Amino acid sequence: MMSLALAEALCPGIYNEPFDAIRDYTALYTLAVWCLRYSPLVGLDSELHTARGKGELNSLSSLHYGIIIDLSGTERLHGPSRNVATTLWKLFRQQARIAVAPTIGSAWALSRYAESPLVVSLSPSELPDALAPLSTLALRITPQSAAALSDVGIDTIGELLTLPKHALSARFGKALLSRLHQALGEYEERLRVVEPPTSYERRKIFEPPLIHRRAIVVAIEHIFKDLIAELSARQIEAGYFSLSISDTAAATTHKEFPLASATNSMKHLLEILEPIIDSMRFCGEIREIYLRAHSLTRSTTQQRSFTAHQHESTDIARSHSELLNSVSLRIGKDRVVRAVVHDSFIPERSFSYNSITETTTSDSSQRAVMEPRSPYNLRERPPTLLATPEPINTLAMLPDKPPSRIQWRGRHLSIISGAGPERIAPEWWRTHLHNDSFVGRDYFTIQDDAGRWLWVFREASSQRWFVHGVWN
Amino acid sequence: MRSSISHLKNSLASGPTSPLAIDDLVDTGLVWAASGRPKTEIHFKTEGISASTSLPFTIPEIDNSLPAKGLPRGALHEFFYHDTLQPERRSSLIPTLLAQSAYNTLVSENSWSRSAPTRAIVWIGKRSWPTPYALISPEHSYSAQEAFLNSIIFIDPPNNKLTLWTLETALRSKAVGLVIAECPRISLTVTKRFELAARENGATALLLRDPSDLNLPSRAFTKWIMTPTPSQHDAPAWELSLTNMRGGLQQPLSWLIGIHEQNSRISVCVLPRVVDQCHTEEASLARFGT
Repeated sequence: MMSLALAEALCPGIYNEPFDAIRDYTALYTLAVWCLRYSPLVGLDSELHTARGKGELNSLSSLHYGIIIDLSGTERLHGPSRNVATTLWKLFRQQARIAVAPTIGSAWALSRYAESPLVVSLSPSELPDALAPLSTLALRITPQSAAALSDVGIDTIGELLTLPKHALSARFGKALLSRLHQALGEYEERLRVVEPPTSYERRKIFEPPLIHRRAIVVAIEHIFKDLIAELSARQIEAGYFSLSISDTAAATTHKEFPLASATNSMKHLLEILEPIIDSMRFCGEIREIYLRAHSLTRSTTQQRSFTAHQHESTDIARSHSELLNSVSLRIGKDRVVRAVVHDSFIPERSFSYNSITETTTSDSSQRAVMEPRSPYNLRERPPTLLATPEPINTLAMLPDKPPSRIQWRGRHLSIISGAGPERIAPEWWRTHLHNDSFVGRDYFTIQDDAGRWLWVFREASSQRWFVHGVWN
Repeated sequence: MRSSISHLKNSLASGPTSPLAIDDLVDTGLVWAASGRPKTEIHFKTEGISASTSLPFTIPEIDNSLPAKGLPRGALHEFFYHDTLQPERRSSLIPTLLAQSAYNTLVSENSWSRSAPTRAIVWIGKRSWPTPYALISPEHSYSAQEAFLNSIIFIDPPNNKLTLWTLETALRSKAVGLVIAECPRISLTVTKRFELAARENGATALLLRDPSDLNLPSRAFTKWIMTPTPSQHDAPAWELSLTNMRGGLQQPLSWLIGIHEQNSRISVCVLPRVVDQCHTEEASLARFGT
């Protein structure tokens, strides 16, 4: 094992992230849910389940992060189980270890301890032979029991199988015997299956297909109404809806309805959706309409208070989300933003506009230890920054005098006063992140004879001048 | 009520021999005596103005010369800024001041419940957005800066039609306290529509309009013009004029404002001066070349 410091010294800029057991578990669960397409019964390791329940995921060996798929009876759909195994193995870019076996225990052992990453062993009679060369650890016993076995010279399952079974339980505990029996299919073992998430969707097939525009609009609205009614009845809020419309020529139009904040308020949603659906274009004969709600969250019902004030504040919160929803649905989510200030001395990097739904509080803890975010006042930084610096022609005395004449946007401006330079140097401490083209700049604050104040700079390498900001 | 009226009738019927004493009327309750009686608070409203319902500039010289001590809320205000070199740009200095002032007002309205959501500020039109660091002031804490920035919703509609739609939607929303919008050319009818929406919800609208629209009729409560002025100090200065105000303006008001250092704090401050009416109008018209 290598320490992180050593790794970073060997390979600068290496990507690292702290281990997060809960996130791994969640990802594995999602993967298990995905695997439901191969069989209705898919489960996680029972140890993993138990550890998750007790909150001891951190101490669990990584061997227990696995998915169990019950393939019995799925041959009609997917062909022999070897096919499923190879498909999955290829899907995971041959990185996964997969074993097909008659029992959960043997599949576990073969997938973790067999030499080949893909093992398919089907008949129960072959099982003891297949397990025999594996280490006793493959039986899912504790390292202590395995050490006790190896003390008496038993290292593999094959050696264990030669011993009389009644003696095993007396000497090494009941767990070993039951694990052995489970692996050989003599004891039952239960599979803890994952549950597929309930999806909220509506599909309508029209026979004969819809031709009239009005009918299509009414149908879409009806489907929306129906789905939203179910969501509100179950107190579930949807983050966005996706709508697919297929016509008889098998072409499908997709449309997404992103909401800025999840809602299940039916009246509000329909009000927003109506003009959008009205403005949609349909071509051909519509055969099928499919609508699905995504990003579901449970809605928090808020008790209305007796006092008028709190009444009002829930009203404000509601109309706030209604406003965001209707605006972002109509003109696009990326056009409804909020301003975020960053720690950077480079003017164009010191702020950004983020989507209103993104939370930005994550790095505020790091920020608190750094210097104030806005160490500048209105006199040092202009309130308006041009989208991109605009090149200008100047007449300026070298090395560090402000320009006396500039030509900007085709007009000559004579400069009556100026201050500077203020040098902004590249931020060397984060260049490996940006790997950018920023070179140092000398900024000047200048005033022309009309009283217009401009923020101009001279690029250090090229000596070219630009206007970057205006006081207006 | 009836008994008091009959009492009054009786006293009137009794003729000139018994003149109606003011005390009688006081007793009937039809007239309240100057003292010793409950008085109802009377707000003198001139189109909804009172000190508590206005948005101050936080520049005392300007606020004190306005009847409402600031811009009246629930109304439309127009703001013109002209720079021939960048006609597409709108001013961001005064809108920034008003956004800060509006945020403080909106938060103080919520003072007895800190967790309660405050009404938001909507800023429409990318070309009028100031840089975020111009919005926050260095002396505030991180959380205060963040809360202020998060209370502003920046919206950039793709075309004029949607700008107007967004503007009206925002004005009609109960969750919005101030709308600052880069406004395309609009007719009197449209401004009426906005005014109604603003008045209904008590939201204030600050329309940043194109200087060529200066003389178009509108329902704006106040009209402001700002032009850059050469300054003797080492800081920018502008001339800010109030040219129109509903309810009449004795004479156009004009101030020289600039960014100055006061009590070790950088702020916008003012050199007040009242300019002759025709002079200002001529000057402003000349400046805009209309």
